[in-house]
Amino acid sequence: MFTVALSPGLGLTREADFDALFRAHERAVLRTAYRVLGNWADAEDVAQEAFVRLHRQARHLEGPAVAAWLYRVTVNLCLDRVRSPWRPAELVETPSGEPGAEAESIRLDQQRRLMGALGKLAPRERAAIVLREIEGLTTAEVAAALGSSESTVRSQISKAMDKLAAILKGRV
Amino acid sequence: MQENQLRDALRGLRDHPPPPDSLARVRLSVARRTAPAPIPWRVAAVLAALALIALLVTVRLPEAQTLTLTAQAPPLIVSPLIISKAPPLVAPVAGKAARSIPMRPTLAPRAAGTVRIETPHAAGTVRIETEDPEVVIYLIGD
Repeated sequence: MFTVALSPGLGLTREADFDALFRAHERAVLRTAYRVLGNWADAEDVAQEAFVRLHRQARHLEGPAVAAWLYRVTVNLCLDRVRSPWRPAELVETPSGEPGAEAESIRLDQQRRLMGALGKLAPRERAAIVLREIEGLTTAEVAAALGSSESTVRSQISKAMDKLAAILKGRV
Repeated sequence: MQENQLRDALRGLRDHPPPPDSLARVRLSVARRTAPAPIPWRVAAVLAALALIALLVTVRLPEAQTLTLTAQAPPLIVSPLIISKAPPLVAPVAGKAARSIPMRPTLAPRAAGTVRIETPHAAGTVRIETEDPEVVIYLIGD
């Protein structure tokens, strides 16, 4: 589900409203764009464009529709750019010798392999996994963001999970 | 990796925050692109000021021209008494008919000390008496 609760009927008639929405969603939008695109430079461009469009459309959007609209625009912008090379940033490891360094190292290695596996999925499958499994949206919300039916999204996610598991097991 | 482990691992990616510099760049770019443009407002203000100045100049200009023309026309003061005693402009030539020169009506004095210009002999002719009653200056025009 959407993590930011927006007051119903919130009209975006003031710059303050836009600033509040921007602060509430900036991390999620940037993170989503990065997970789908695989590099921060393109993710920044997409996040920027999504918020500029939100600013233009602000007066026509209200409440929870803002979050759904933002995810949809972000994913569409990402899918338009998906031809860019998949180059996830290196995750920063905790220096060895510090407490919990070994567990942290394992976790980071797992995340690194996971990001690599995500890059091997088809763009729409990757977007579905990012929205459903990473960002925690409901199937209906993912379907709205992707412009697909819920059954299609369920199917995409199921196939994508199988592919990820196979990739991580080294079968692909 | 089991499916539930895979889901947990994917959820773990959510906790990985965006780099602060990426976030800062997005904030800066969005702020720049959504800020109201100041230039059109300032241009409009300058144009309005110029229009106001042009209007003021246009309204005041005819008045200034009138004042200038008035100042360029110095009064010519001629005493009616002296004019009446002055000799004729041109003496009649024997054997030839004196040229008939239509007289302009003499302007009646309007008030003591007012300006009076008299052209007693012909249009375009002005007679000016000096302090010496024997000296009279005629200005003859074509």
